[in-house]
Amino acid sequence: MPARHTFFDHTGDFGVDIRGDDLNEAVAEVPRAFLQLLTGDAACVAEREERALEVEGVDLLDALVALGNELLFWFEVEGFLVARFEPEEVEPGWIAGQAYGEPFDPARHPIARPIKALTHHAAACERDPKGVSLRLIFDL
Amino acid sequence: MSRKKRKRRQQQERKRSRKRGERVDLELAPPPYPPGKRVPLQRLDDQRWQVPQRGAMRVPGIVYADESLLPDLEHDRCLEQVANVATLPGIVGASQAMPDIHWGYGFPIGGVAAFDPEQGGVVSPGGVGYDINCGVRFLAADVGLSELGDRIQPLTEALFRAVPAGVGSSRPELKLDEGDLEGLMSEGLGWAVAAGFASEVDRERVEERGCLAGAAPSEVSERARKRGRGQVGTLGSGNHFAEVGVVEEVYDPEAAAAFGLAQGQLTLMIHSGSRGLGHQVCTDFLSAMLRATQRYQIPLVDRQLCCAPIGSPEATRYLGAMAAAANFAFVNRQVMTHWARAVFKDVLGAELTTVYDVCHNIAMLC
Repeated sequence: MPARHTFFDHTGDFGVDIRGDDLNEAVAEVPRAFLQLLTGDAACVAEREERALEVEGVDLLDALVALGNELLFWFEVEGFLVARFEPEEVEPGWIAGQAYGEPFDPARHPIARPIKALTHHAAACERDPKGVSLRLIFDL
Repeated sequence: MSRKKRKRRQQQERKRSRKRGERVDLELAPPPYPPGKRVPLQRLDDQRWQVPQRGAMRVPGIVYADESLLPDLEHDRCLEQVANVATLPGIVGASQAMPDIHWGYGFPIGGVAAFDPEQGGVVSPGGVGYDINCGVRFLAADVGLSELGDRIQPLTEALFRAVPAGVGSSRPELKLDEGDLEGLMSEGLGWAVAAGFASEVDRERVEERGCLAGAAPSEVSERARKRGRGQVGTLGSGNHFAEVGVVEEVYDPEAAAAFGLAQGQLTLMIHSGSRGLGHQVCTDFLSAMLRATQRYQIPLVDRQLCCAPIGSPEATRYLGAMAAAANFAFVNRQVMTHWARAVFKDVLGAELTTVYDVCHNIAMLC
């Protein structure tokens, strides 16, 4: 089953639960959830450009939070939105892979919910025989 | 070069350039109250409720709320967070929560705590929050509602144009070079007065005269500077606002007179903070504090509460960066005030005087 995400309410903000068959699949879903939350329509961004995406953290959860915050930096400062991410290396403290997306165009990319940051609060990664679950909370 | 070859080359380059930062193996301690379960509250008096000390709590929690607010507290997990904050080393007296309490990140929103460095007290970037020196500037106009007539729409439209708001809002015409950015992070409103955006009266009426001591712009990363550079004088998004109001009723005439307020008077309230610069300072230091938490063997029940002992190199660096971001926020609200003044003058022929400016996301050494 392809990875999927579900948002849940966090007073005034949003959390996301992600489920994947394995860790790479779950990590690949983080940018999709980010884009869905930000624009309200993850399909609005086309895969016109490819970029290397690498983040570091003190452990896996920190790297996951760093991944979300890198996407935010790309959007806010560089004006680039990621439609899809292919993780190639997912290790404790290190996530790297190829990101596909396009420059932000206000005419085609609605901003549904401005994101301030991805937080460490309640961040979780759990493995079970059927796959991997991630939980992340966004500060809006 | 084929796509496959390019990928392989990128991977090899990555391996060569990959930073080898210190990794940590953080295991969270059990929280005092089980997640999702009801947290008991004991009445202290009409306005204060105690969260009983339990598990790793070093002090009790105290929530300031009247009875009508209690049902709201049970809808989210903010009371668990009050208890979690009470587990931090060196906390003094109680983990406190103001009446605006709701579920936050690490600390509840509305959470307040004091820490004693002599008792191993800590500073937590997650406790201060992402929007460092988020705060409110309150201004009074020298005209009343009765004089506004049909000019409310031109006034609000002009304010929308003068105070950029929304995601990534910026003010490209305000050209700030690196020296300006250093100056405003170091001096706060001192920079704004010199640059013609503020008066000495403004300065007198802003908390800490609009400048937190100990600012260390050198601790503010290039990323944070990039996020903040074009955002001075912008409102941002989320719950930030600029609101035209009116003094509807005066409850304490003496206090109102002292603040220069009278019934029917127009006001302006600006709620904003340090924008992307402050958010990035918090983000940058959370990873450093996760390492510090392990280095100083601080038991942690929530990763967002990661922290370092006051006086440690990690805490000192954070407090320097935090003060620089706070000064950025003071200037941000001041520049918006400057442009709002031009609008009030242009549309109403009115002056706007600062009544007060106070921040609500901050740590201070006393």
